[in-house]
Amino acid sequence: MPALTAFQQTFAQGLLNPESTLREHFGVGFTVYQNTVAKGLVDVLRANYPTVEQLVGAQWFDSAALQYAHEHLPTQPALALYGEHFAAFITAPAKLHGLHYLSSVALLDRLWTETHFAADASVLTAASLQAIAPEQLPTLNLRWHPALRVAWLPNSAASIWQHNRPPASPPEEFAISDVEEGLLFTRPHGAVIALRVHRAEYEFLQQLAAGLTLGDAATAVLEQHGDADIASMLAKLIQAGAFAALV
Amino acid sequence: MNKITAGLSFKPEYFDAALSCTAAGMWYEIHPENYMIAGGPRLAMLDAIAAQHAVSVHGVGLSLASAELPDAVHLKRLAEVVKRTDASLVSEHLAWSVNSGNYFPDLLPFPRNREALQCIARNIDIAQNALQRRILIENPSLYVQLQHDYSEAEFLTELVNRTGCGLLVDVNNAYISAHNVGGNASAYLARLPAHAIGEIHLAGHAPDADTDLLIDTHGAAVSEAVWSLYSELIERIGARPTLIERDDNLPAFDELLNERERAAQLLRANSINIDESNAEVSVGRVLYPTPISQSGIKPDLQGVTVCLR
Repeated sequence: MPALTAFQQTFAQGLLNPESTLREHFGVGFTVYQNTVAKGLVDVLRANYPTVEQLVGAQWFDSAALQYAHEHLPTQPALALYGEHFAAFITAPAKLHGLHYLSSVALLDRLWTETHFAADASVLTAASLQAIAPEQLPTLNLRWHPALRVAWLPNSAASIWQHNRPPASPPEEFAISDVEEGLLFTRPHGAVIALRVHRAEYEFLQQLAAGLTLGDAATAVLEQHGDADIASMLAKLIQAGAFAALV
Repeated sequence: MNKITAGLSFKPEYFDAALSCTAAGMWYEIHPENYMIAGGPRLAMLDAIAAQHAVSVHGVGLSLASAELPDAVHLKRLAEVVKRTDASLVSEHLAWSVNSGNYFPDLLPFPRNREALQCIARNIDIAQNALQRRILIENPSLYVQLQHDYSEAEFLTELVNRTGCGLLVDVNNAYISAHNVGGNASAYLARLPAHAIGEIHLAGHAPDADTDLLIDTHGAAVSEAVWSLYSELIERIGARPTLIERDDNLPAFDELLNERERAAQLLRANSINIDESNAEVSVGRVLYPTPISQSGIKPDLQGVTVCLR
């Protein structure tokens, strides 16, 4: 093996190992590299999961983030979307501490980030939909805007996320129940917005994503939710910038 | 043509002030890795800045000092950022950060020997061919003593000669490395090939709490010792685009503007020494003269994973 390859493999293996003997070999300066790498990865996760840190505190978060970094090193240098498995990673340790909602909150942080960095595209406006002949509407295929993300989660995770996502200050008292809630993320005017959705709205979006026409998606939702007001659901979602402009 | 003089690191926190700044010769440096995203407000911010100001693209992830080849996907994305910003300057580091497909967010050291020289010259060739322009290579801040066959100045000079790359001289890094691993920063700077220097970085550092090492924090004002080395450098080589590099512990924008004005004044005082033939000093794309594969290694982004000696 070429010497440079061997040197770099040895150096890299020591970077994330606090017990590495390379410190004796290279001197105390080796810990500067160890610390820089560790801090760099933890800081990216901190930036991408601010609500999780708000809920568990810096110490717990740093420890979990460092363990995650050990097991999931980035595979490329653009780190904006680093940490895609973090929600799953903290599920078990969070439950051990009774924090059943934590991985769902992490998932919502993740969806916020995905919305933030998603591709640009024109949004479907109410005006452009009104320009379509009424009899054509049921046959339309509405495409999700690239920045749309939506989740339906247990343990009041959406409420917890909305009350604790920085810069919101966490409430002093907050009742945790096991209510299922839905949250949608879009970027209609540049900045990410989070919007609560009902079960019918969540299912409507899923049907559209699965390729159903507007008419078929509405029918499917009405079978499950007889009192759903499809017109007002559609208006709410269009106003939120949920759909891409018609092609 | 507008001359770029002293510039600042661009941070989203400074967006409004940075966008509307009218200081003569102002430019902004970005880390392209932060903009390798599909869309959204961050890219919109970059587009707005690039529409008003010259942009320098300063990569941290190309890992030119790896035994491995530069990642083809990353290089393509780098080229996209360079094109998107119509970059005035493009630079990378004399360091590695990728090993066996893993990325370590740091600029890591290596023994400066013949094997490393061949690998890095090959990687710079590949990068310059992909970007179709000359890139500047920055001297690192060092924290460990390794067995070297070349001094850093000799090594950088060899890279310039073999690849036609330019140099980004980080005066703070030279000061830190001299303190941490020995040497004289002033003598080191004097040994670098002046004609190849296309950009200068000035940044702050801090003493480590537990050791006698200096740490390249980019989190403080530029030290007087570094200002003094900078002054000496540009008196000798002439004015070069100079960055006040701040990435942490961000102060008010005006505070950075004051530091930036200090550099701009020194550049004006030495402007008589500007080498007009050095196109890097001017705003606008600099086409790299071809052919650029002087090290005789055919760039091949597929298959080869190690540098054979």
